[in-house]
Amino acid sequence: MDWDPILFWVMIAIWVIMPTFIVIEEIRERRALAKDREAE
Amino acid sequence: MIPPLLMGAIIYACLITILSIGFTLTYLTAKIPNFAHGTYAGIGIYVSYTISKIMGLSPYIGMPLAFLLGGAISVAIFLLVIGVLQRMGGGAIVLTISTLAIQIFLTASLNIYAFWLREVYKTYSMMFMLKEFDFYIGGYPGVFPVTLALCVVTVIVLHYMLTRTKIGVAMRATAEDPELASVLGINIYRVQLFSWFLTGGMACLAGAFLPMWFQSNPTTGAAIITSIMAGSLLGGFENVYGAIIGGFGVGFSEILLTYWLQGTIGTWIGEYRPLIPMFFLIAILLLEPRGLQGVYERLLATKTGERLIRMFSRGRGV
Amino acid sequence: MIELIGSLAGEITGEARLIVDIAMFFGLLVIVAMALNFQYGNAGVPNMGCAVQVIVGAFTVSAITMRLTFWIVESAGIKLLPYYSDFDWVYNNQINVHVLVNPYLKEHPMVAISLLLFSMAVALVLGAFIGWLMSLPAIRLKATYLMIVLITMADTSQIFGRNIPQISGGTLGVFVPNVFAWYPGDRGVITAVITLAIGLVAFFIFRTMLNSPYGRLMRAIRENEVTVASVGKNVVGIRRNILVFASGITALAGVLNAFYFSFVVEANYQRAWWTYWPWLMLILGGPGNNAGTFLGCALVVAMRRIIIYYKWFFDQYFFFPISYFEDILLGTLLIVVMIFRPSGLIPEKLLYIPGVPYGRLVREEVKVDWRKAPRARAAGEKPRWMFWKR
Repeated sequence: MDWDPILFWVMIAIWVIMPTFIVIEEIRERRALAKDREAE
Repeated sequence: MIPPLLMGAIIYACLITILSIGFTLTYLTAKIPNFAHGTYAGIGIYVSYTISKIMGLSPYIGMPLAFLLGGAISVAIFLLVIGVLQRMGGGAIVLTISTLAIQIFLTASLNIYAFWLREVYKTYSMMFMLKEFDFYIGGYPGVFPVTLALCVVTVIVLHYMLTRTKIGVAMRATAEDPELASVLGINIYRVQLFSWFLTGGMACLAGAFLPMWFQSNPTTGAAIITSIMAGSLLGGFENVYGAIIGGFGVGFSEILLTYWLQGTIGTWIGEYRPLIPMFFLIAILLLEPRGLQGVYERLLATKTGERLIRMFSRGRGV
Repeated sequence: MIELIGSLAGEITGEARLIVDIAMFFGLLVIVAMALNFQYGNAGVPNMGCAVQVIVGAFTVSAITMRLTFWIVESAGIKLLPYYSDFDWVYNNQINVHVLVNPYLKEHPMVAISLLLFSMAVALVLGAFIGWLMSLPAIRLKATYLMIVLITMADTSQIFGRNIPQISGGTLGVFVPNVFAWYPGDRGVITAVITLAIGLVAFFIFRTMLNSPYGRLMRAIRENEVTVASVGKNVVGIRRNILVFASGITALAGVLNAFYFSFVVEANYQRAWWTYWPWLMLILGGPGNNAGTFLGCALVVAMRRIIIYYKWFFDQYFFFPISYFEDILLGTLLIVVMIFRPSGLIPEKLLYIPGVPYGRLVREEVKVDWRKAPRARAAGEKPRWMFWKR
């Protein structure tokens, strides 16, 4: 069975996972920081 | 008749000394190592090449032009990049990275210029030596006495300038403590402009002599920065007179040591020549980071040093 | 790209090739850039010697793994051409690798995969060792000395590689056994997948370290070494450890690069590619956070690949080879980013410590705007042409 296209989409998946994870984390942290600052 | 090896070693050592002095001066004024210093020499190489191969004149005519061009480019770099970053409050690392970026930019520009010369004038400009444009004095190629004289004159003029003239003393004061110097009425901006002009011009002038003995290509300037830094570091990074000793030391050892090693171990070791300045660098940093100046100060602090000081100062009536 | 799912027979070509290419280089450079972010962006250790660390990984593959492969293949009974002397090592190399070793690896995928893991493990160790060596002369001194030493070391490693044929074939280079020979499709895509996977793992490792007390320690060292030393931490030792750790991970990128090209020659590892471009990515994206590194890496890799891919378009306007233009772009971008946006595209956010009343601790944030910096002449004064006169 032809592995190439499967691996191609796996590669794109990994390539998308990393930035998504980073973005979600950054947004979460900045929101927590802003909330903390407002709680002052 | 001096053997060509010794002549080559002396020429190389003189040029490296002039470049090391410029490097140390830049470090004193701007507090950063200027990685683009070797590239100024590269600019000088191509000025020589343009004047001799393209216009057909003797390269010695291009020397004042090289000085002025180098100074102008150096001042432009200061005004556009370094001055702006210093005013913004950039730290030493940011400034050093910017000099690195300038080195990349200038080397690429030199490559492009060499490429353009090759396309337009159909000469081979990527690797050349300009020995045939030299004049001969009593059997010696003209480069040899001229370079030696240039080095000696540079050292004497620099010493005179730094100790006697107003601008030289202002430079030293600015190097030590800029705020105090500006309180005393020294225009720091002017002093910095002058020192960048001077070092750029000196480096370009030294580079203009390089192709008359050694083979040069567009990246020679970038490759020579290691030797310059080793020479400067050997004498102590902040000491102009140390740079003289350091420059001569590194310049001589690079050529003579390579020759000697090739004689004893084999010709294959000639490829490792760029390792010699690096070896100096690492040895100095491991043993005594302040170079010969540090050794000198350590010696002065011991008993022998005190005796020497007493011996020498007694003659002066202290 | 939908047609890829159906009709691919062997190699990936065309646009998809460009994407695989970009993904591969992004994966490699993102590992190097994340390690650089770890060192400079978080700990303030300016590592200008990334090229050395990457080269060590590549040399591991070409020197150690190849000999191991040859030994394994010979003890399995296949007769190889002699490779003991320098001449034979380089000249018989192509036949050895392509004709004799690769079919063996094709039939024994376990051997191939274990070779890959072995290379990565050895590269980790050797990279750490090189990091320790690099830190020896200058880690105690000021940052500028460190930069000087590391830059010269990058040149040195190239010289060693060029002149010692046993390491990587001197100036000619050696072919490396293809550890993905058992894979029935395109070699590029599986290497890209593995590289991105390792990048993901490295990202999580770095993220864990950065969000831990050790990360706070690193940032404290970056801000003010004297305070940290006065509290009792061994600043020099910590900086050395950071350099060693990041070196190990950077060497992995060298290993993967060697396997992607299936060829190792020292001219591929110039310091411009592997040191200056990662620095540009770091500074462009924003030192200090992984998001910035990613963004910087993506932008720079995309820019470079697009320039190379559309070379024919640029050749009409520029009469010189594109590589010089890339260098000029590198220098200019570095300076422009540092002048106009010194904290990068994604500035570093301040630390979030759960439970600590954050606002009370940090009241003000200093921002420098160079347009408001003190000027040499007051506003309204005309510029003097002869500025050297008083």
